[in-house]
Amino acid sequence: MKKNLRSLRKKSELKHKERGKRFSIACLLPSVFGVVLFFIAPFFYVIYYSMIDNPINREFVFMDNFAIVSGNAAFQQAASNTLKFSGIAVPLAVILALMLALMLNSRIPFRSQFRTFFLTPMMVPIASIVLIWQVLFHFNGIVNEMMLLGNMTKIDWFKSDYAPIVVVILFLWKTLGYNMILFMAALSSIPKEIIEVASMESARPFQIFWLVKLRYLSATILFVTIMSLINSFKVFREIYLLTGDYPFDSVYMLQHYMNNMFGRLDYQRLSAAAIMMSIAMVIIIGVMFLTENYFGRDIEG
Amino acid sequence: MRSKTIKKLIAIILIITMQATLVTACRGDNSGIDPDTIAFLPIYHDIEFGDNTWLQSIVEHEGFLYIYTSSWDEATMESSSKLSQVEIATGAITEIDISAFALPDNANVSNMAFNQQGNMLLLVSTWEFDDFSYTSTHALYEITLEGQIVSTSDIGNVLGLDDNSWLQGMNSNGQGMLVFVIGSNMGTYNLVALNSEGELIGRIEYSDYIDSLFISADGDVYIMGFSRMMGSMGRGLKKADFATGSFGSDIEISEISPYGNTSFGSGGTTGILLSDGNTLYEIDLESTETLRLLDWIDADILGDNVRNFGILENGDIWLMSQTYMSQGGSSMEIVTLKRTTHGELPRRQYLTYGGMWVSQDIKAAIINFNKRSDRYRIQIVDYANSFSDDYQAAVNQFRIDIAGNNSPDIINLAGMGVSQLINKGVLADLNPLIDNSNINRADYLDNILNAYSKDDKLYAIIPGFAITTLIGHGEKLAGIDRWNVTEMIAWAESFPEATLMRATASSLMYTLVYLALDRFINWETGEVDFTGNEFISIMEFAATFGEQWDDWGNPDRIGTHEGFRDGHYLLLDGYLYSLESMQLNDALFDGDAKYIGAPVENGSGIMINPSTAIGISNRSKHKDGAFAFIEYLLSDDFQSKSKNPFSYFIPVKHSAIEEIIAEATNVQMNDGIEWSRTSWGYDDITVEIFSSRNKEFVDEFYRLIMAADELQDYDEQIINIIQEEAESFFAGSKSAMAAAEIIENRVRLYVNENR
Repeated sequence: MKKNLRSLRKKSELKHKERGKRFSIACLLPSVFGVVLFFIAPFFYVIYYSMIDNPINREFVFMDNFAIVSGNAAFQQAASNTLKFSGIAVPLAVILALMLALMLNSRIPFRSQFRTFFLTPMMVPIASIVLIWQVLFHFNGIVNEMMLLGNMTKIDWFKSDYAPIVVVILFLWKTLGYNMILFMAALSSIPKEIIEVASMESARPFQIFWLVKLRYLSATILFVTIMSLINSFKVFREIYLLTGDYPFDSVYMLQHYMNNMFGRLDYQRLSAAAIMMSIAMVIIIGVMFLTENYFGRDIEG
Repeated sequence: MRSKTIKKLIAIILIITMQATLVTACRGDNSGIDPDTIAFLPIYHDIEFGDNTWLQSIVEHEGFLYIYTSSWDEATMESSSKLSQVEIATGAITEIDISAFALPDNANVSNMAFNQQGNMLLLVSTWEFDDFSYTSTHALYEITLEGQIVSTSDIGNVLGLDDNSWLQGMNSNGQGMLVFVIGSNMGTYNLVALNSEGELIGRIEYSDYIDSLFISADGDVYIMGFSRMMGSMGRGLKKADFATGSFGSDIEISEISPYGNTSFGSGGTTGILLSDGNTLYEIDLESTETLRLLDWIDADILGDNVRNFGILENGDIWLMSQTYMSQGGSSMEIVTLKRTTHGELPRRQYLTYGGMWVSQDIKAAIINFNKRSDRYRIQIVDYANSFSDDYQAAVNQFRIDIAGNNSPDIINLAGMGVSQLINKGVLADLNPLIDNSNINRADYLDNILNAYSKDDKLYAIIPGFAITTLIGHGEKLAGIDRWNVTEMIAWAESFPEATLMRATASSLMYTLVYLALDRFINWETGEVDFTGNEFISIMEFAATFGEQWDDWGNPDRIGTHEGFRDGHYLLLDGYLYSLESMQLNDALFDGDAKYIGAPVENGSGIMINPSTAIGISNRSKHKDGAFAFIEYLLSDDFQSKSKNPFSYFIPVKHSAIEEIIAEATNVQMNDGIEWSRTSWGYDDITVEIFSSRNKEFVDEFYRLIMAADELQDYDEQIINIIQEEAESFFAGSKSAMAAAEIIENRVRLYVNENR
């Protein structure tokens, strides 16, 4: 009798669970539908678009668009510029931000004023930043006027091989504050006891930094690097506002290429370029994750 | 347990509702319009006003239109007047016998209204001219609907009219008040109100110009003021208060645009209707709310031609439309728009016509096509109008629609980069459609008809065009039939005392460079050369022109005719669409105009400037219907100037060209003296245009049409890059070589991207 009662109860519980499960799925369906419709389906649609000749005929051409894009001189220029820019600006953004965070973490006078100073660029609207940069670096701008006062010849900052320098400065000016805050938060979370023990064991400041702090900061470094990498692609916005659709070739980025392909209705080349860029991003970020896993494994266990 | 069930039920209902919203877009026919939407069915009243007839005044009263017209009989050389009553619902016309009162020959019935007794009031003005001035009289005639005079009164004195003032308008508020608008040479306007006995009720002075006068359903008086200083930007709607002798503050109605055509009508619940040339609204001036009644084009009416309109008690709309013919004269028609629903309209296949801007002639063509076709109906998508504040957004949306599933069936290709669209496979090949139609290719200009051909496929049709070319003195251009940029500059430098043309550095770069881009760009290899001597010399030559246009207000400005006559200028940028324009050009060059063509590497230099270019979307499911519209554009109804009032272009059909030449060379004599057709003015010269002179230019006109071999269709992006960088050289900031190096760098990038 008891056995029967127990099995009946179990069956009823199972039925109840099953019903609950089905009801949960039904409630989740609208959201899942939305995610599929607006995120997953477009992703596959882009892949499909990159493998047809045009949206009218829709003839399947497999990798032809990828071959055309990768062989295109403008795309090669854009990819090269983007890699160079990211290769220079991102490490600088990470290293300089870390140095600033370390500096502001120590007891220096006017610490909070310095912090505010570095955070202020984050609050400035893009249009204002572009305006400021134009006033500074225009051919007849303030920087050139000062150079003339110093008996130097003017430089066409936006339309010469010096243009990437201006863009890197702009990127760092905009990004350092945010990265610095992240590092400061990470530094404050390092257990003080370990640093005290290291000090007591006569470790030098550099050793403490390299062997202790850096290990604890590895996850944050990874995060900051990824964010900086993503932000380095967004700098297209400022370059576009400063120099238009077709800038000097030294600051012609991948987004310029893709933006122009969109304007020309060439969605096939746009999709192919976007997929190649995504694959490159996945590889780079994958390598970074592996690196972080290796260096930070003893911290994260 | 019960509450759990209720919660589940609620959740299920929510889910179903959220999913159901996705399917609410389904409609009945392919128009996308809800069948219950209010629509208007046009009924055209066959009313002939005759040749040489002009409308003096029109007023609506209790479902009837009263129209006062004057006519001129060329045979008897006499004028006559007529007062007609038209029943709006049926179009039945009755002529009111006005023989009982004889108006003077020089009388003008400028306004009509009705008083409370139901009698008609006619405002009759006369002018007597002598050598130095004129005197005017103004009388108010009250007549019955049988044409019997009830009273006449001279109102000039009570209105305070003198030699410096004039009567601009009159209206009745239906409550015994007559309101008059009086203009003055002193720059002020007055609004004067009289009672039914002709006694002054009040006068309000307005310090600027009164554009319109209208009365609301409540009998309140409103004006639309207009600022002489600010022009249309200074428009203001105000209510008149005769008790205080002042106007109220401006009433803001967002549909009153400073641009375009704004006019007012009467009727409806508020008594005031507003047309902006595209849409008809009923407005409530107290609450400033507007009710959109209809888009004129949806009722097959060209809104800009609507002169008078109103709304009847049953909700039907009446209108009188006047179309001015390109050959002179006008035609009038009265239309009743019967209120119905979209579902009640005749079922037809809907097509879309999409363009950045839809010109009047195309709008009129679409209206005519819609009236005649019982299978298809075209809806217009005017992208620039839809994105009035953002032209680039309109272009982007148009491009997205073309490439996506929302492409218009018929595409107006002006400004859309036709080569790009052809390369993307967006446009259908029209050759098979033409071959299967009744169109005979030999009836059309081959060079124009096939202007948009590529690889034996035809992608667009040009229904009308103009010619652009350069014009100079025949004597100075002796021995030169065509040239390139270098040769032209060398020729100009052989006249050191003259300037090539009236231009700025930028406009000259535009003229010289865009036609010669192939000299500097090799699209096959991607090589560009803007740092060579040739381009640098063009820039340096252009720089000699400066960046300021010759200001019209400049007292030292040389007139155009004087400039060419006295050798200050060598070439004129010519735009030809008629024989008359050739007479004017000939006068500018003192009878020695030579059409030389623009400087190009290959071809004649005579450019085809399409009035529009029409293609069919490859995605269209109704290519037959879309092509039916193209057939209409190539038919006599559109091509012939006598049938198409908007024919301000050179037609592409041979017979239509012959027709305009025959009309332009038809000499009109009077007592052995030839009448001038019209006069054309240009800056410091006015030319009387004679048909006999037109004959002298027929051969050259034909030569230019047949020689036109290149579309005025250029790569705007390259031009923008060149213009942008050349500006810094023209401003003196950079050397020519420095600017050219940047141009080369940026253009190379563009060329590589597009190869």
